[in-house]
Amino acid sequence: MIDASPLRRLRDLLSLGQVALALAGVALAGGVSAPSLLLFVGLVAVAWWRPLPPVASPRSQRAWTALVFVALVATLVRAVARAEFLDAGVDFLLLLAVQRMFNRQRAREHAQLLLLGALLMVVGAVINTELSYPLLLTAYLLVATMALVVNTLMAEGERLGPRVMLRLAQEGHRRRRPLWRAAAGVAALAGTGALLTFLLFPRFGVGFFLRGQLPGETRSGFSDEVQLGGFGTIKTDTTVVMRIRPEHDPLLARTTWHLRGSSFDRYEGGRWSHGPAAPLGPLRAAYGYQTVTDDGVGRLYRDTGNTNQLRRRPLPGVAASTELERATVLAEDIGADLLFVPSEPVAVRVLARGALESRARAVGGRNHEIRVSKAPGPVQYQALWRPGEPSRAELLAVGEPEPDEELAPFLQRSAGLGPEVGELARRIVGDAPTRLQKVEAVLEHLQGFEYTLDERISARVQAGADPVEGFLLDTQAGHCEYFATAMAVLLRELDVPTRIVNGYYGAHRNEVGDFYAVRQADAHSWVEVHFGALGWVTFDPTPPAGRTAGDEAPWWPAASELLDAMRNTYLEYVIDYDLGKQLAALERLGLRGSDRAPSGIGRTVVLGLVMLGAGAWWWRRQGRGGRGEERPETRLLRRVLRRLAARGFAVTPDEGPLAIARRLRERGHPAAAELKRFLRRYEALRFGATAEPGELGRLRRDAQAALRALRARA
Amino acid sequence: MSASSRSARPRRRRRFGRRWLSARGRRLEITRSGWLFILLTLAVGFAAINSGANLLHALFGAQMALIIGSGVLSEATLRRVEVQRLPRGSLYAAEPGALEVRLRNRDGKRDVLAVSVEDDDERDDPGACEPVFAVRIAAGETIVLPTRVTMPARGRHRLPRAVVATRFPFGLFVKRRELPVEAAVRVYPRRVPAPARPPEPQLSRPVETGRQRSRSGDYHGLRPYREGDEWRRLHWRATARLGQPVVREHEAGGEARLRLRLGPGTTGEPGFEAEVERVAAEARLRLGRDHAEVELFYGDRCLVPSGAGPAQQQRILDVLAEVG
Repeated sequence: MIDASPLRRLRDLLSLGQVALALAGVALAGGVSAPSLLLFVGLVAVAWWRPLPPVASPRSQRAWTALVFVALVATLVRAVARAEFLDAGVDFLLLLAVQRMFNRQRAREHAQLLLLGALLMVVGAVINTELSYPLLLTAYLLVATMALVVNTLMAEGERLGPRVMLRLAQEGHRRRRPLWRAAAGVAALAGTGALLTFLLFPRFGVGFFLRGQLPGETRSGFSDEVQLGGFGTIKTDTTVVMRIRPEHDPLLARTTWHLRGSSFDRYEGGRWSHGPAAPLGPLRAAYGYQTVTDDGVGRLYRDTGNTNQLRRRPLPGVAASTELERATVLAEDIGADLLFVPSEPVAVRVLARGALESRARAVGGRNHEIRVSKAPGPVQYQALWRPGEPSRAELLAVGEPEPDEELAPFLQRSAGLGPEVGELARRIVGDAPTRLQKVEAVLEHLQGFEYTLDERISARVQAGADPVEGFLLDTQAGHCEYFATAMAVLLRELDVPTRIVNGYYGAHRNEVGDFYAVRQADAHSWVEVHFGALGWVTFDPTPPAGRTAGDEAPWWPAASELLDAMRNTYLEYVIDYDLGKQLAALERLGLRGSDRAPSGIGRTVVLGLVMLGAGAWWWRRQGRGGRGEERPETRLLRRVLRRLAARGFAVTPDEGPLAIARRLRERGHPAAAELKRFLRRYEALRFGATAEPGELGRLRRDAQAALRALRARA
Repeated sequence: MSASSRSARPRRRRRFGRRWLSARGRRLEITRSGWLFILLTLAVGFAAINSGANLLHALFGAQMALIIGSGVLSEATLRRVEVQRLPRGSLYAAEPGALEVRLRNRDGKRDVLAVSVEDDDERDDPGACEPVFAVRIAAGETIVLPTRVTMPARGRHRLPRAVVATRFPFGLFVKRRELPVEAAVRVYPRRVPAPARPPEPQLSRPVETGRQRSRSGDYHGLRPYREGDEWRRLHWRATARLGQPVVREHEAGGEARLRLRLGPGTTGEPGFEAEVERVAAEARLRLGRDHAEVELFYGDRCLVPSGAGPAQQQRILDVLAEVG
């Protein structure tokens, strides 16, 4: 076989490129393990430079067959016994791709590589819900289409014999530009097909493969137990975990919401957890929401007497207690079943993500936590909260309430704490008479501490003391968990009920997407102190600089904002696109019966599309179809004849075009010479044996000259 | 149904699938890759409908568009291309002869990519043409591709029926269009070495009609002009007097005048065919190398009167191509 080297190299490159793009789609979703990926890259590199000879020896063929058989068995074992169906399947596909890369001389092997690429792309479509997939799919469509085109040419060369292969070798690579154009056209067609199917094909499924889990480790801080020091590792992680669209936009670059997540009451040996006596706070259904309860009474109520609006149930002694804010939250899967609501949470409503998707339900956890009933996964919900805190005067008015029996879990002291902590607490507050003053004293004391993400471990802690003792008595430096723990522990020494809360502090406004983004780096800890009849009040002992630590994490804020907005739009309108949205879109376009009239934009779009289609059809008919397969030279002749007719020289049925030229000459018309030149060239081109290259262009110029001459006369 | 129309039908039974996909001179065949692609598309479609996964729907749509686009593009390609096949030079039986395939793109705007002209594999026509393949025919352009045809037997035959085919763009489908039946071509007897045996009896001194010999040989006489004679050999005065073209004949010095005799027979009989080939070889040898004057008898009937030179050789081969 004659080697069509440049075309062959192009084909190799395209085959490898489409597999690489498809593999990237899988790898970016964590669908392939790092060792498998590295092994694949290494083997492909070897195969690229040292492919097997065209005719493999029987020994090597047997070796490959045995290897594939063993791999197949291993894949089945992994899939069945260890339930690693996806990983095993991807690894097997990669092995087959490596095998084909080593042996890629013929079109058949390249066709198999293309098939493997397509299968990997299907896997990517299932597991990759990130914005990277449509970008990769676009590139893949172009590269794979061109690979198919080139491989088809090479297959024709193999099928039709060495003479044709020789011609391909000479011509194929030289003609690659029209081939690329054709491939781009077909890829655009495929893209259009994908878009139309995506938009219009009815969704019947039950959504098994909706948005997946964010890649990466489970976030610390939101499990059932929290080890002191866990947050430090995530303060540089800029992954967006939540997007919030408040009903009333505060128009701040960074809000100061304390987005409440988990809350713990028991502290022992540097670890926070739910104590056995921690109160459970079931949610109650009210006005379409699940409302948080206090002693069995829901916080949400309808103000029937005044405005008939939903409000927070009034709290005697707090003026701003009935204020209510509402926001829609789109939370990514962070590996926890928590719903985050700004303090103080009032109610939530989980929104179904799809017409056929079963709606998840919010349930109450311990310590006023709000959890979600469905398995961990992305969730969308509406959150209602009270934005206003009791004022200082209102808190002062509480005085020092007597400890309640029910608050005993929040006064629990760690057995591992030494007496120095209690002595320190008493020294800090002195003889402060009210609860607020005690809290303020502790806050003031902690403000002098250093905020740092470094883990400074004192000799005391190394010797086995509680970490918070090291923080309070030795290092006086740590991050939010240490500050919050220290405050909670100190106040408990003074018989003040406290609990620690883990969640997120603030949210960053995304101007592009018009929402507030909460990043992993915003994870935070703070304290809630019980103020008798006023309930739990939020206090944040971390210095302000520490609360916003991680804000500078995005290396290019504008770009990350844009990317996040794009990703949000993608998730909202692509991944979560469902039958409900489909029907709504059709209704808006007026293509489906509805109580509402179609919107103006919808009408315009439909009308525009119809007119566009009709225009394309008419243009096609005028251009070619209307008169059959009309030649370009005939079109030129018709144009000139029309101009002649307009000038009073209409051609009669018994005369040919040249007769008109004669008539013009006899009348001394100045256009006679140009017309004759045009008609002679037309006849030579139309009825001559062969046309020279460029003759059509010359005819066009002659036609222009004739038309100009006829116009000049007019 | 007449015997001739029966023989025109393909002898091989076409498979059901092929029959089903054939219409109006077009044939669509799904390749192995095509079947695999269709199966993959159906699987993705099933998974998409079952799961409701949006990206699978998009992928399914892209694959369906590729299948439909593939069919539309291949049809458009075949519709645009015009094919003409012309033999270049003489064709001899069982020997490749030159053939020219002219491919014209009728469309004034769009290119034609990846078309082949090849024998129709559903016909059992005698002979075989080597396929040709054009990577690209620019809009309005005509390209000429050389190829070779081998006809198995002498006679007047049509070229083996051909199709213009394309697997563009993806090789998922093969689309073929049958080419119209072309005019018959004359195939001369197979070229074999002349037998090393005594020539036919010498009748007289040969008469030389070739240009070189005319200078050396004696004047022999006049005879009517025959196709292939050189114009310079016209005897103008005699032509004017007789009212028809007449040429001079000269004797070739010392060379034979031969009568080639072919026994009656029927086309296709091995013995007769071998005899035809022998006579053709003899004629070529005597007329070409020996510059003899040769006449051809079929049984007792003179088919080609005595003559010499390349024109005489052509006359004899023309007769031998179709005799019997």
